[in-house]
Amino acid sequence: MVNKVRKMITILSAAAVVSTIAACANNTQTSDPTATASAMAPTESQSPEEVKVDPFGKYDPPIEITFVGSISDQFEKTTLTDGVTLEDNVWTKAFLEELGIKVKYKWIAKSPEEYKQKLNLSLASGDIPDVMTLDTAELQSAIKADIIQDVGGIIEQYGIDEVKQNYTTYNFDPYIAAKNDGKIYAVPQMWSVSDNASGILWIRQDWLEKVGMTPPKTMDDVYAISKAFTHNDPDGNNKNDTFGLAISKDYIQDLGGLFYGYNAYPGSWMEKDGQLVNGSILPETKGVLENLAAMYKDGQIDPEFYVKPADKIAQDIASQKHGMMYGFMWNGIYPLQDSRRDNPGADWRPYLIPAADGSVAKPKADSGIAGYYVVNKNFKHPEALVKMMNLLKTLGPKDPNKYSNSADGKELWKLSPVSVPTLEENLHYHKRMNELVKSGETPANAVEQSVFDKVKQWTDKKDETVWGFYRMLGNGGVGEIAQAAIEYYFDNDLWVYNAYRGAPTQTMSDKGSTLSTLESEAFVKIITGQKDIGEFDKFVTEWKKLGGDDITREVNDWYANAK
Amino acid sequence: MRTWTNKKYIFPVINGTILGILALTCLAPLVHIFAIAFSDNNEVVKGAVTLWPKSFTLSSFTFVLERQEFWQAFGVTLKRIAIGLPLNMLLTIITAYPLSKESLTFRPRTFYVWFMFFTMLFAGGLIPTYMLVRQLNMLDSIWALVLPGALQVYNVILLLNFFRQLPKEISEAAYMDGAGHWQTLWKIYVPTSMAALATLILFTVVGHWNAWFDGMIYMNMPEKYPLQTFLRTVITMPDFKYLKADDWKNLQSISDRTTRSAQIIIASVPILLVYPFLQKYFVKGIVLGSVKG
Repeated sequence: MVNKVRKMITILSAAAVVSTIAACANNTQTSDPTATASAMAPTESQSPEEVKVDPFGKYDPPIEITFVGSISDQFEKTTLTDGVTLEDNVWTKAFLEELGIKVKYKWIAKSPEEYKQKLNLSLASGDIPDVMTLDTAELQSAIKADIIQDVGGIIEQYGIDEVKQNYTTYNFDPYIAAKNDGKIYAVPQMWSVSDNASGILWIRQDWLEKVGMTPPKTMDDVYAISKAFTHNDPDGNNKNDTFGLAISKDYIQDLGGLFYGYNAYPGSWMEKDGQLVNGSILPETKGVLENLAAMYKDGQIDPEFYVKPADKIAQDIASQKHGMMYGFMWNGIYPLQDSRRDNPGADWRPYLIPAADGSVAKPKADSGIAGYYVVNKNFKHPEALVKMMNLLKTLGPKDPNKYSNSADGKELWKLSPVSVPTLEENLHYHKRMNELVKSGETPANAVEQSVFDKVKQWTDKKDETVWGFYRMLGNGGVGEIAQAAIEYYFDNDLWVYNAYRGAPTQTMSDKGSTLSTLESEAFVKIITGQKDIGEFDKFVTEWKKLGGDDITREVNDWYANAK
Repeated sequence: MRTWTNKKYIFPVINGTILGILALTCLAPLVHIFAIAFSDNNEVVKGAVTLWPKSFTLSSFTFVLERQEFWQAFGVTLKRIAIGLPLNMLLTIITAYPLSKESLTFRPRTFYVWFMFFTMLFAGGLIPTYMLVRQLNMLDSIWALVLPGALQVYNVILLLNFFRQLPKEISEAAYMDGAGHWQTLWKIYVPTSMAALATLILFTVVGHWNAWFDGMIYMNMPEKYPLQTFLRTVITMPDFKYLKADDWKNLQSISDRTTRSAQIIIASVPILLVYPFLQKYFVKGIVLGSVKG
């Protein structure tokens, strides 16, 4: 019975949701004239002349703010225990006591995908919370539907320095996607650009020694290692069962670093002679595909890579089939840690990405924005959001064991509906670990102490469970610690950003999936040798014809405006 | 002589092989999940476990059985079946009975049947349905899981056709003996339709048991999720392509496949147990039908 309802619902949902956002949302607004009227001028009434700016001003009587939440199974297991809930915890108590803000949730989702679904329902039915987090595309629909308010300047006006600082750390304008008609409709949630940037080349040291090679300095070294790992039996079991380079069906992402080595950035928008161009169709990308085809032919790549999801490749890594992969700074924790369960000798080391010319590659940085906080048009205290951020930045560092991360692994900071991360926090701790070890000082605060203890647990006691953590941010240099490589990229200003920071354009939404299917089919055919490299030029023509040219034009229009 | 016997067996053999392969492809994933649930996680992570457990352990089961959220979700599902099943059956029976009568006896019958059939083809869609449930203040309550699907037209049509093939003479005899419609329905129709009703009970129970989507959209708080919605949040993989912020911290739990499999098994055992209990009614139903026909 319910089966049928579900089936209908699922079929209708995907397409219907986005397109109805605007219509329905407007509907609710007009049907409630009093609410609309009172919401007409929230920003004016908050101008600096009328309201005394107090970053920690307490609301009396207390106000209530509704949010929507997202938790994960992991978080539920570790942190939401002993009666702690999202609505009743140390942070909600602090918000109420210090700021007079009552935190309520309209709903809570248990996965990012579910969050999206529920959010779309909320937007479509016009039943939105006071404050919520949207992505770029959702932000654009919300602006168009006129359901959120101008929050321009509230960070600068109400924020304390520690909060403001987050918005000036990187040299790009974080508000760029939130601007519309001279107004700013969102407060970006800043995030470390290095966290999800593919900037590390992980190689098994024990395999390198076995085949008698040294860490790679150039692209040719990488190919030589890949070849040796495939044919020279690095695991010493006298079977030809190893591969040179671990890649899954998301090969573009897995191979990020290999592409960066040739200044190729498939899927990203890059500036070339003042114009934005898509990295997928550039000759640099073509060259990398050619090399990959040669590696595939030689058996250095899993012949079935294009059907294997990432977790399948993780299994292969755990069963000692791979010795080299491009990836993230956190890969030590997953999946590399898994390869040590069976074989503690699996000594993965993080290296800088070599470039074809023998220098260091320029890795692509993450967008640096995890989402956009938007405020319901009818909500009268948009500054409350910033006040909460201020409190987060004050209480968090003061008593981290109670408010940030407890010693027993509770992620307490996630109990707050708003978060202000410390940017490049992992890098900060890595630097501190180096300092502490060198100077012999004791850690300055409780968080530092717990990080230090964890690192020590590996360096002194060789506790396997913290190996991945140590490889991420422990003490040491490039080739030992992933963050050391990240530090190098920052010090030498090597990060490259996606030049397009706007929302998906019309043609991107319409044709995007067609184009990416076209791309992955063409690329896989080239890599696996079903088609020769000439196929690439055919793909480029096709790509342009099927909407690529339109997208390029839209993106460049945006770029001209943004400049 | 020999060729003749060969010909005779050729169909059953091919038929058996194809059906056997089909059955195996259905069974294999289940066995695989079983094997994983009873294995040591280290073996699973390596991908060494296929159809038989390696380094047998019950630790994942003890972990799951101690997990409060799991039992909470289990409770919600039991509650929804406890309310939903009687409600569904009652509504289906009392709707199917009048519609099984001839148009002469029950005039608007044709209209009602077409009206209901129409709803099978066209629905309001996700958002209107959601908004209706919200306006009726059913969000976050068990009723949102039970009421929107309380009357399944497909089931009604199934049952009304079954009612129609019961000999008219029986109900006429009951009428002569002074039975009204209610009495005829409950004393004559229902007892003689046990085979059809057992089928519908099975459909309904399985439907309620497996439903996850309504739990996800109508329940605002995860502690109110029914079992399958809960399971889904536990077993779905994050999309590696769109890792954001600190999503990577959750990846660690991917390696934890044994407990996930254990939860799947504990969640499917009760529903598997329903089948043998209802089996006898099916057999009887088939026999019953053939004699009458």
